[in-house]
Amino acid sequence: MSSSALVIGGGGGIGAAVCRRLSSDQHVVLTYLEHRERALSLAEQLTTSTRTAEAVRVMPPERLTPRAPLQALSAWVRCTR
Amino acid sequence: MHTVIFCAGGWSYPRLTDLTADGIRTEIDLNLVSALLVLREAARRVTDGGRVVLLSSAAAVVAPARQSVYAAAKAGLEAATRVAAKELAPRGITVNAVRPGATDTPTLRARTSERAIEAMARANAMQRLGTPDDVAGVVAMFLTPDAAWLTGTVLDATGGLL
Repeated sequence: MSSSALVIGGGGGIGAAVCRRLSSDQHVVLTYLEHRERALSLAEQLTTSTRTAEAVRVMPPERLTPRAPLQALSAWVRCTR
Repeated sequence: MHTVIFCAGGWSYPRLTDLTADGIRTEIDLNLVSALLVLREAARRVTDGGRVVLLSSAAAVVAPARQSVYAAAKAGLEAATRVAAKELAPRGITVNAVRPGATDTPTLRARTSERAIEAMARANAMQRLGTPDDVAGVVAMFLTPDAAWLTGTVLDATGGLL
């Protein structure tokens, strides 16, 4: 596994499908806002002896504020490998 | 970091007469400001030769009623995609967008009436809703070696919304 893929919104319906698609040959870091259980479950499903994935919560589940998107970027620090 | 996919997004169905500044800002933040900040970080952190794909929406071009803010945000995302493609091309990084039509997700089911969903399914040539895997396949296509010459494109993934 030579590289990482960051999927912003990986807990949603389309995002989760993208994560599944990419996980065969990349380490997947998926971020989520509203779909905590789905995201954590997905990361667990995608992690096997030959591939890895992790879910990162990017902001609190309350309504977004104008500054909230900045918090999403905290996920990047998890993607330096 | 080689690959970044931006799938975050969300919408509501406000009438023009019911728009508020706070509501507009919230939806613009979620769909456009986030995308622009992700593009900024991608420009800083994605390795040369990397791939960036953003999820737009058919709303950007078909102008569905009661989606003025969402449509505007996604149109802005598409414009930003093209600008980013130009800026990052010298490093061999491609930036593209996928424009799905109505896709059968839990969020769509939760926010949209059954009658409206049926109408959405009938609106495309394939006569059905897209599936998340339909869209993921198009995203994955942009990550293949064969797509290395594609950048700044917005590809419809709508089942033929003609």
